[in-house]
Amino acid sequence: MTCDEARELFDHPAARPHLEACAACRDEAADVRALSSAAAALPESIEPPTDLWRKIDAKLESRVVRLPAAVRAPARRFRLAAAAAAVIAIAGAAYVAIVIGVPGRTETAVPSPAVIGIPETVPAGRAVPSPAAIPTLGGADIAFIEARQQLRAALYERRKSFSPETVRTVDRNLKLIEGAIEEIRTAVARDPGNRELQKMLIATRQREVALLQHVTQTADLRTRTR
Amino acid sequence: MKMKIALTALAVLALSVGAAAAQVQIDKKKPASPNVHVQIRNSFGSLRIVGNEAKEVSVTGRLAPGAEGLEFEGDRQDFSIEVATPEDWSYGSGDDADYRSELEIRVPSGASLDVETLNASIAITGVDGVVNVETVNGAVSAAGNPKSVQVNSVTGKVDVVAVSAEVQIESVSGAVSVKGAARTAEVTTTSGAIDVMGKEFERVQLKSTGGDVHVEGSFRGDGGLEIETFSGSVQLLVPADIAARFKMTTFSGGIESSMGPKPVRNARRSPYMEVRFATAETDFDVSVTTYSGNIVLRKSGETKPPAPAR
Repeated sequence: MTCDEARELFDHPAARPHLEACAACRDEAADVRALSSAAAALPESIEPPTDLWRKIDAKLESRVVRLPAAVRAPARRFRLAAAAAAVIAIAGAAYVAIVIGVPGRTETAVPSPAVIGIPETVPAGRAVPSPAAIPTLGGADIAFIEARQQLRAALYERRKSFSPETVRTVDRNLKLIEGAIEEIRTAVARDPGNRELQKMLIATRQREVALLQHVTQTADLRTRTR
Repeated sequence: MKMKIALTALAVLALSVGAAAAQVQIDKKKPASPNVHVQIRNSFGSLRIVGNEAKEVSVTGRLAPGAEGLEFEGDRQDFSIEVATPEDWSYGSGDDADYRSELEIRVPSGASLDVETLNASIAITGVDGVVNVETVNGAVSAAGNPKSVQVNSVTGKVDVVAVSAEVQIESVSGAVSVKGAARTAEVTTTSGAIDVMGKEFERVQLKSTGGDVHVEGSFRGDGGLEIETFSGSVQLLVPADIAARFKMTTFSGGIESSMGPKPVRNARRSPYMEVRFATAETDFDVSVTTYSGNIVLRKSGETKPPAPAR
């Protein structure tokens, strides 16, 4: 088995002989597991910071949006696949408890199983890991969750800025992305070593945030064009 | 009976005269520098923006009967044109003629534009500067040779024609068409279809969740063409002599290509399908990724697209 093959299957029993023999792959596998553990230690719910809104653009631009390009870099792909796993896990954890779409309504059902071996549900009472505890990701994961949460709330506040027909269109498109995320997530769970699927999942999550950001900003046209 | 008809006719006539009287005709102009920046806001109706050789900014047309007025301010370098509307106008009123302001704005061809509307359609021609458009529901068309075109739309259809510079379009459900374009194009939609035709593209990035993507064109340089969809199908037509490295990937869709090796399913990761090949030694990358959307690659001029293998 080559290093490339082992990297795709590092949690599979078939990769064990290679990992035992290859120090580089073994180190990278350890990195991945450490990241996964850190991601799993996320809290059950995350309160939105009060001053986040104005920082969202910068965070998304500088951190989250850059991730897929980084994932493409062959030399770092294994480590960054771990980063991808952690992002997915963190976003998944956020699904469990944060307010989705309509304030007051909590998305409690997370039908898909664990993603890349990381549980979607997180034990309560765990401390929020500092960004330093997830060194590869920095604050990107937290920014993603914060952005999604804040944008959902902001969009809800601005729904009256749109005509009912436009609101229905936006809702339909958000559901389209949510459905895509669920479908890809289920596929990743079935094929956890598939980096293309992992990248697709991250990209689709980012697209959801980008859509929320785009529509929310467009809603402000109402106050400007008067 | 005749009396009744006559009275009705009179009433209709009176209403028409009243409505016509409420409409405000606009005809304003001011001198402007050749590279003036013009900010334009109109919620409902239409905007026609024309670049020309005159050294002035002019506004003609008709204000909606209920509009509060037209702001037309600025010096030679910077203008603001805005239709003020009552706060209680609902978004659903865009189709009502009483709410629509129909304006034609003429600017120097070197002008740059920032245009914002809610439902108003926007047609831009002959403007060479930077063009930025934001709209919720308005259809947008831009033609000519601006330095760059950036459009943000929610449901409005977007058509960009013969623009040779940078094109960046983001739409939720509105279909996006970029035709005759060159150099760079970046289009993102959620469900809107994307249709891109052009020549000598350097870098094209097209992303949609559910919208179909169609690309036909030639490419140059060491840039790339990147297409990503979830369920949207992708059809790519390229010159037979294209020099590029191809990578096409789909999870549960099909791939049919009249170039390169026959796509096959990855036995270990069924139904994952991928095909990679290069037509020459080059740094130009063509990357197509879908989850369930079909991918078709064929050479320009081939009449019938092959059915995707699944």
